[in-house]
Amino acid sequence: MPMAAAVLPVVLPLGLLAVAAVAGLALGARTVDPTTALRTLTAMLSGQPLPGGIDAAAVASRVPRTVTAALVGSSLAVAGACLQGATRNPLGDPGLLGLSGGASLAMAIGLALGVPASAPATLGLAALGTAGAAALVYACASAATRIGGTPGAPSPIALVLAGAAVTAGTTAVTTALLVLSPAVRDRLRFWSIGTVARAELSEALLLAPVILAAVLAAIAVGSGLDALALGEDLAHGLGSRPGHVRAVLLAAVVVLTAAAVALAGPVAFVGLVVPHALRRLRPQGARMLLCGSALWGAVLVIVADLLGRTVVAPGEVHLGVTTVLIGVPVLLVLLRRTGVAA
Amino acid sequence: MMPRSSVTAACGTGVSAHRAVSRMRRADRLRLGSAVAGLSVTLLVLAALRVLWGAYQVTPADFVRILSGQTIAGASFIVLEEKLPRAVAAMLAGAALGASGALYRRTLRNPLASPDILGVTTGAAAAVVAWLAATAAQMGGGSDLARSAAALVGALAAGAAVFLAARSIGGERFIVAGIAVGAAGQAIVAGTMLSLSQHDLQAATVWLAGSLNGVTWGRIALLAAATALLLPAAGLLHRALAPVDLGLPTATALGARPRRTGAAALIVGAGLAAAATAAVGPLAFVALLAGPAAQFLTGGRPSLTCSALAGAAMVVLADLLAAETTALLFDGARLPTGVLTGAAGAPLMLWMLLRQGRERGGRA
Repeated sequence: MPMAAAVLPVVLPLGLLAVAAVAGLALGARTVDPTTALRTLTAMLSGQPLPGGIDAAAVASRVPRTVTAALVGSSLAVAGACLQGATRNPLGDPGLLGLSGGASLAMAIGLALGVPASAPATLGLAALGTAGAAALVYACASAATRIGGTPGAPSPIALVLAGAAVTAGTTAVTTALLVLSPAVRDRLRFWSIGTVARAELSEALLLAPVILAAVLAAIAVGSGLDALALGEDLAHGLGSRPGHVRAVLLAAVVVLTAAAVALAGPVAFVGLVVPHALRRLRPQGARMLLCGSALWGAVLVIVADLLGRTVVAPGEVHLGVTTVLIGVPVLLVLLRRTGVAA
Repeated sequence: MMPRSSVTAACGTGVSAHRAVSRMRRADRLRLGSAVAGLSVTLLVLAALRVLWGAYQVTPADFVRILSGQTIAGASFIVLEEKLPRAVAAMLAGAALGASGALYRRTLRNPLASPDILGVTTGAAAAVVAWLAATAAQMGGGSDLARSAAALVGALAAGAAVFLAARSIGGERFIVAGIAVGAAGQAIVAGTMLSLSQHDLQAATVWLAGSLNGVTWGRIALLAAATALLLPAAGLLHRALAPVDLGLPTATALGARPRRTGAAALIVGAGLAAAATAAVGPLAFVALLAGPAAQFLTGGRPSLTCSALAGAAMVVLADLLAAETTALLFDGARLPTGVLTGAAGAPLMLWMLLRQGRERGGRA
């Protein structure tokens, strides 16, 4: 029975992930047959010299973006699931709540001040920005909710409104820095839409352990998330420590959002869409939801990137655009459910 | 003086109560009049600064001579092709956005329900970019009329999408639906931009940040015509909707027809926002900010005139800061005007969110 329960959330996306990854490597402006794609990939991973020919070169050029897309998708989907659980807010998404905007702004400020564009420095800046934006949004939304009536957790709508304000402000200042500072412009011009087109494998591999650690930390406290869903008092009664669980989850959200923004820029709605779609499959418990989010998120973003560069080939629709077009209808459907409007 | 009037008002004898009410009305009207006058003077001063001051300065005497048709080498070109059009476009676009914001605010009875938050301006922008991509026309050279028509269609479509998605009108869910539609519009813009040619792309990027850089007299004429047509209509609708401030049932009982008038007001407001967006790009938050700024000056009384004047003053000031002051501070660099209004608007939106919570707390 536990095996059967794990099929839809975990086993199926594992298979899909393999298929999507191979498709991501093989398809594009130049179509390569899957065996060549796999041979090139194994050669790259084992450090052997690449097979010759244009096909192998095309596959090699697609490896960084496919790996980055998988990492970004996992990070954002797990961050969304954690946000939704920790704040008991169905509209949790790092982009929607302004966290990605804060991360982008912090990175732009760092570059403008002359901080080197190395991966650890970028990640640190992005984490600072994410945490700052999170604190600001949460404080404003909970103040608005508290004055308005029931004290306690901020209402989902107030969080989204505060997130929209923070996103608007950070976007404006980031644009100003793009215009005024050549250092920022060189590095962030394309990145600010949200794209994996210029991803570098070294950066992705450097951040991969960080992302993995944050995902595992979130899964480790996953059972506490189940207790949290019953409310603060019941969670206490069940022997869970809600404050502790929430702190771990929010720390994971900050690290995951920062890593995703550092890799691909602000990509919205992945964190909203994946956990909600997954809940329809009725995963058993929050752990299963988090594992499933990590895998389905990777699949979604690889496919979104693949669609973005094949549908209008040789042109390209960036990831930030594709995910919004997928995510907005989901948000509108969620809004129509009565539970959301508080 | 003070005790006597309150006593007579409390006694409620017909004549003195009437006198007290008319005194209050007079004070109200006086405050409104002084707000209009103050805003007009501010606007004129800012516009004069915009035209005369800056990296290239013009004396008032020269300005008058240029206007009267004389040609002064260098100065004539800069005033007539750069400074004056920007100032005029900024005033017109600001007034249109301010009026549109006031109209939305009154109709939807929610201070956050402004055309920029609801995705109406983004819808207009998306339609303009889509039209550009479809016709592959040049940004400056294409037909301004078709461009404005595209903006109007986009604005109305975005508004309709928000209504269909939210089902309810004016509430918080409505605002979030607007934010979602705005995000979709932004994505359409970003996606469509890539199919533009390099030349169009550059112009579109500047325009999309809300910039008065590329404004031409042709576009200004169109914006002026639209404003001249729609502003009086907006004023009438704003007045007709005044009973709605007392709540929908009361308004209906008083003989207002909030649904029909409200629908007309939303369409006229979308038209104003679309006209401004087609001319100068989506200027973030002007429509949202002009209303509260005007109400602060009038002492809480909603006024379309004040809102339009405040919007105009805001855009002229933002343009002055973005174009001339940043050029002084950052060695010739110029910021798009919309960046400045966006950065200033975000904290204010947070503050309005807090205040809205407080008002709701008061009612509960």
